Amino acid sequence: MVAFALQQAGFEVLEADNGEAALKGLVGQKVNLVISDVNMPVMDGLTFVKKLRTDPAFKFVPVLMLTTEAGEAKKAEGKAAGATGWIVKPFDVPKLLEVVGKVVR
Amino acid sequence: MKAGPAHVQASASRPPLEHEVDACLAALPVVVRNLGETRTQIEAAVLEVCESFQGIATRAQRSVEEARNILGDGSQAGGGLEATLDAMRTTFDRLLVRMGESVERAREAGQRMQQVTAAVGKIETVLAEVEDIALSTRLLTINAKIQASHAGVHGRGFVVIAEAISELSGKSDAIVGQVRENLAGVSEAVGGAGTVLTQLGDSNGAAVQESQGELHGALDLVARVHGETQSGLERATRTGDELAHEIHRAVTAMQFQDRVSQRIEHLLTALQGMTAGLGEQRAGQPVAPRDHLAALQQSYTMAEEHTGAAAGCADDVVLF
Repeated sequence: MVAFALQQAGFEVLEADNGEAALKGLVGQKVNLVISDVNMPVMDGLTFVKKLRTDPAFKFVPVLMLTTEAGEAKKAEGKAAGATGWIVKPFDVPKLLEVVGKVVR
Repeated sequence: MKAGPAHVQASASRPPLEHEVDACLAALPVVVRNLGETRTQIEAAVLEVCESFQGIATRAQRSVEEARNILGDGSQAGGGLEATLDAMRTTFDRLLVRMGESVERAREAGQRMQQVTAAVGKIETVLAEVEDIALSTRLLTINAKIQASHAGVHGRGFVVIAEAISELSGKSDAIVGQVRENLAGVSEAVGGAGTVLTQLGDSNGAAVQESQGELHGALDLVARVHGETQSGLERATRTGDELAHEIHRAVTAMQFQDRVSQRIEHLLTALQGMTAGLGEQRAGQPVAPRDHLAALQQSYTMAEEHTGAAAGCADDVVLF
């Protein structure tokens, strides 16, 4: 659904089902932004962000966590892992695009 | 305590707790499996619906883009239909100007031809005068010879002069004849061409005027149809935007699937915990009683799962 909304807005989107697949898919790629869920199979979102930040190519790429998790403790964990922002679902498409636009700029 | 008949009767009919627990233990895994399958089915259904929405939105967008490219709003290279119409109008106007110039030249050629014909007429008049002069000269020569014969010897020189004049008159006649012959050729060549050219110029001029009117009428009609089509395209674009807005709303609503998945996941975890706990108790293992309700509440991750909607619920977008 996120990919759909972003593609409609003209963004090119790479998708992955979990953190591990995302790390593999990002090898050799140049991206302006990463959006990740927290609760994922195989590798969860926070582990994914921590590992992503160890790669020099992605050290400064903005990472938005898009998740149903709303607890402050979880948000703090996300920030500590290296996330740039936290968006609680359900997301409003125009608002998501506004945030994406801000972060990518 | 004295048990009344009603109490004894009730105790004897109730199954023992162990049987109840056994029944729950047998059913719980099935409940867990069913819940898991339900979650999977919901996810698949929502994904399919979203893909359909994506297809609808993409097709609507493509239709509007294709129409815009055909009609042209001036932003594309080549400009589309609007620019083509303008180019056609300019080309037709230039063509009609050139045709008008051709008509004018034909008229001028006709007038020149008529001037040539008039000049030929004047030359004929002059030739006639020359012929009269030649005739008068011949008559004068004859008279001169007669007078010379009367003058006898003294008239001989005069006869020679008269004969020379007569010879010149003859040559003049020959020249007049040649000129008249040449003029006849010119007249034949020019013929009625002057009149025809003038008439051609007049009729072509009228045809050019008529064609100009018809061409501009046709272009105006095409421009009118194009204008109506542009209006239709604008309406289609507005409808497309409204459709996109509705799809956005649907996408937002579809996110219920995430929350449902999360809730079911928490329920599954709690049920699996209860199954394990009951199983251990049933097997007679020494296990401390668990607070399943506390464990369930601790598993909550969403704002709406916590008691009191405001608890732990901060802004829904936070940039660190």
